[in-house]
Amino acid sequence: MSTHTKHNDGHGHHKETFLTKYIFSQDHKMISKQFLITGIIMGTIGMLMSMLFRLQLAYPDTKFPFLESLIGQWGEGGKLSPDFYLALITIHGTIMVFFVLTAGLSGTFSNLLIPLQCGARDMASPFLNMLSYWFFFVSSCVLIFSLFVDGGPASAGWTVYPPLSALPKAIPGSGTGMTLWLVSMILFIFSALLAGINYVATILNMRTLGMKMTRMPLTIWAFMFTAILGILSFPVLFGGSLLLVFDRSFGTSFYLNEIPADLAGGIERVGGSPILFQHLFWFLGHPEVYIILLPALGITSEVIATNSRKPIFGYRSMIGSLMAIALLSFIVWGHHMFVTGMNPFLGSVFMLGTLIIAVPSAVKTFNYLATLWKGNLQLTPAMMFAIGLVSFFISGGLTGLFLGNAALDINLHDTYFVVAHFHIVMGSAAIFGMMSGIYHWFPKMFGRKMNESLGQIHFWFTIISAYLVFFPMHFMGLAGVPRRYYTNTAYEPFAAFVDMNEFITMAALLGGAAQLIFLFNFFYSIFKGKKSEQNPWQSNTLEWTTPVKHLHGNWPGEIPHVYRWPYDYSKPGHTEDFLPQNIPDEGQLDPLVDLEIVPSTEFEKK
Amino acid sequence: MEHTEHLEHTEAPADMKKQIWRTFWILFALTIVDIALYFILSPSLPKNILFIVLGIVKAYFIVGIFMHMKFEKKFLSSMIVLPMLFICFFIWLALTEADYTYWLRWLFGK
Amino acid sequence: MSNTVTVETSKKSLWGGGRSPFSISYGKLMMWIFLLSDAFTFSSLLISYGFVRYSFPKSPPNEIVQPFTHVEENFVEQMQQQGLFSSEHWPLPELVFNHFPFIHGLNLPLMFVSLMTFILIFSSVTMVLAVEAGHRMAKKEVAFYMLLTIFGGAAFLGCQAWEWAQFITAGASLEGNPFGPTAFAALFFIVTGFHGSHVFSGVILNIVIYLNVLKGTYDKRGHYEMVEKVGLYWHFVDLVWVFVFTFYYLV
Repeated sequence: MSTHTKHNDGHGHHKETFLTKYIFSQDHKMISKQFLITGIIMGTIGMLMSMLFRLQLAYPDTKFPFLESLIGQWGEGGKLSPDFYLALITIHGTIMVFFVLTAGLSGTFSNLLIPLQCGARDMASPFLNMLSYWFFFVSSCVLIFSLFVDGGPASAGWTVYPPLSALPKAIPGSGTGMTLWLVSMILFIFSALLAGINYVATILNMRTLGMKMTRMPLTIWAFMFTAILGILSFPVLFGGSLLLVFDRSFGTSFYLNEIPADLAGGIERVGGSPILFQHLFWFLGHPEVYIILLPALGITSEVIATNSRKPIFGYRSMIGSLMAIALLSFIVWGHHMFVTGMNPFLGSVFMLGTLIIAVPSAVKTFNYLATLWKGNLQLTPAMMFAIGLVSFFISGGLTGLFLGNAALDINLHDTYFVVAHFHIVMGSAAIFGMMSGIYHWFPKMFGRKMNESLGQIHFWFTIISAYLVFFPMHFMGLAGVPRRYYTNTAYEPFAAFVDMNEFITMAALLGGAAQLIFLFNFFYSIFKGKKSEQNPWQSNTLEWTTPVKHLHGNWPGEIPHVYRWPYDYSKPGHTEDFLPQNIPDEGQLDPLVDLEIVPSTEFEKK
Repeated sequence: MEHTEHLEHTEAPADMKKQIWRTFWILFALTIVDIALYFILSPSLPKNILFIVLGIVKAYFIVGIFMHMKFEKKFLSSMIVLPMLFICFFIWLALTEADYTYWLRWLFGK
Repeated sequence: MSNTVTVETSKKSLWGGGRSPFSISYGKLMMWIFLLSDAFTFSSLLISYGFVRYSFPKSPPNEIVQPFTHVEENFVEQMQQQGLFSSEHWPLPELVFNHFPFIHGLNLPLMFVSLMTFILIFSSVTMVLAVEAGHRMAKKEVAFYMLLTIFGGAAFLGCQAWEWAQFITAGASLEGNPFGPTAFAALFFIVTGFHGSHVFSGVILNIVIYLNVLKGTYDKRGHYEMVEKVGLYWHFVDLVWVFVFTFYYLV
């Protein structure tokens, strides 16, 4: 690259080349930008895929000539092929769940905020942090590459249940595409583990003086629980994937039973059970839902408190409910498996745990609403998206109570009711949290602000279209329309829903168009946005005490000490309506003396 | 040279060497007890439970003495040990499920 | 040496920021967390083993085995005829693992695996002695014990290779198994193989550390914490073997 020397003018004393500054950077702020931009690109791909299969669902009999030029053999004659339809929903799910909402959301904001809000120069191990990004990047490349292999990408659904995923001859997508899916997932697990270990070590070990655990912003608490969930649950998926690889390629039968030799590569497969895979998968799969949601909830807490100019309501109960959700998420995974032939006794065990999750979730919702109550609301785009998250969290959470009930789930399982439920509570809510975070911390990341009016337009179009897409699905699901079907017109009772499908697709296209506004706003603002001041939202947390221009090591001088919790907004007796964490009260002791803390050199060496 | 603070607490008891060798002999003896029990008792559930308990005792000595966990802060050890409860839950659940699978196969002739 | 750290730190100040609440460096904390997650990986494999095994009928009681001292050429066929080896139920470990290198034809149930266990425990002891010597900054002792640990690890890997070879010669593979259900052999290969790969990477790490000790890297750094971190990993590998031993050879 010719820009090699151009960036050498650097402000620091260490020499940086283009390669070490922008590509193999070990600076957490740059890594977070890398995560964000990769996540946005993957999100756009996933969204375009959903547009394609929505088109098929709305117009099962119409031909779209542009499909043939777009996806070649999969859209012959302008009609989406059934195999590719299955592939699209699989890859859409995988990309959205893992690459956008896990890496793109928690990766971006954990990287950006953990060192900045805890008051650390960088992550505990910047090198492993960089490695985590590159594992993620390679893993997304492998998944994209699998779109182009013979037989198409994996098509067994994002949950890749055997036998569809275990027998290479089961469906076209079970061949090379499935193998690449597994490779991609194993790389992703490495990335998630490296990142998670780093996050937890940084939060516990590298907080600045005075940053007690109970003075940490709720974002950091949420990121910590997210990281712990990832550390404990991803290894189990690794074990499960390993056995699946052996079933696929080396003739074992852990997940297979009663499969004759001619279907299974010449060896009769007996003695295994697909239920085993489902248990291993959902031991990750359910905590994964919270890995997606908790960072969004943390971001929302911060954004709502800042923009209501009020202390967050129930700080400790917020932490407690985060902890309760994290704990419970490990003992409820079976509610995804009520109708798979699992032991019905276990069904009742899982049902109990599942319904208990409603309690901490309700605590969180109540606290959000109580924080908003009588606040001096600043309706910035970030705030709008945060309120949107609360709305989705409520409306999606309520349907969760239906689905968590083992008896009701027999009717609702694998219908559009489930699709509606998780797209609202996990998909839309988490995306809204991510958007809220992007609008809020964009000035911190790029030193410029995003356009506010475009942000408002983006918000209103997105929330309206999201509700228009997912709300009608509840009724389709109650009527029994199954998910993952290529076409509904082939079944007499479901043919009546074509109108509704058309309506949903229209709304989805509207929502997709709204994201174009966001993409334009995002990339335009990186280069041409209004320059931001140091603390544009008048927020209390430590990241706003760093200079706008990024420094390696975050603070030019000493790291600020912390004297208060992060939610001192509108404190009586002060002229300003916010009190940053690094401002002491009159007469308040320095934490050095106050807490008898002995400074250690170890944290300064970075 | 300035030391980092971790050295302050990793200070082991003075008779560490003695303790290490004592732990070695305990582990040695427990393994021999394991083998002996294998041949003395016939396969049964209590025997298996006994083996697992012995395994956990061995794990206690390895983690506690060799990995130094006994001398670390309490919070750290509970942070590492308590998540194993999830594994206990998973084990109980997998065995219940496997038992159910066994009876289903018996019922439907495989 | 820093003397300021002699101040008695109260619990409040432990968590007050600016220091590690556990008084350990971030590197060691990261190693602990990594080991926790690795424990979950091994647990998931052992749970799969438990699931598959428990969904089969119980093993036959070992009273019905006639006592014997010699292992004949056609031992496996004999056992199959007696119904002790059958794809219907899990085999008795004493009948499967009864060989010893260089001693042919004798029935030595579980002797070899006990030897392997002792080797691994012993290498764990030498490792912890190396760590202990590191606290005293005794470079020569650290190097000596590291070398012993490396030998112990290599010996364990050699034993495991022999055990695998023995198993494979008898006809066991991922796809078939003369001793019992296919899953028995497949899970044996996967779990001991996964453990073996951990031992292997542990040996590699130990060699790297050993060379660094000889070079004097840690002497210059002023502490032998790297030995401690790799030691944690090595003990973890030993710990896993305790459970692999329990579940594959005893239960």
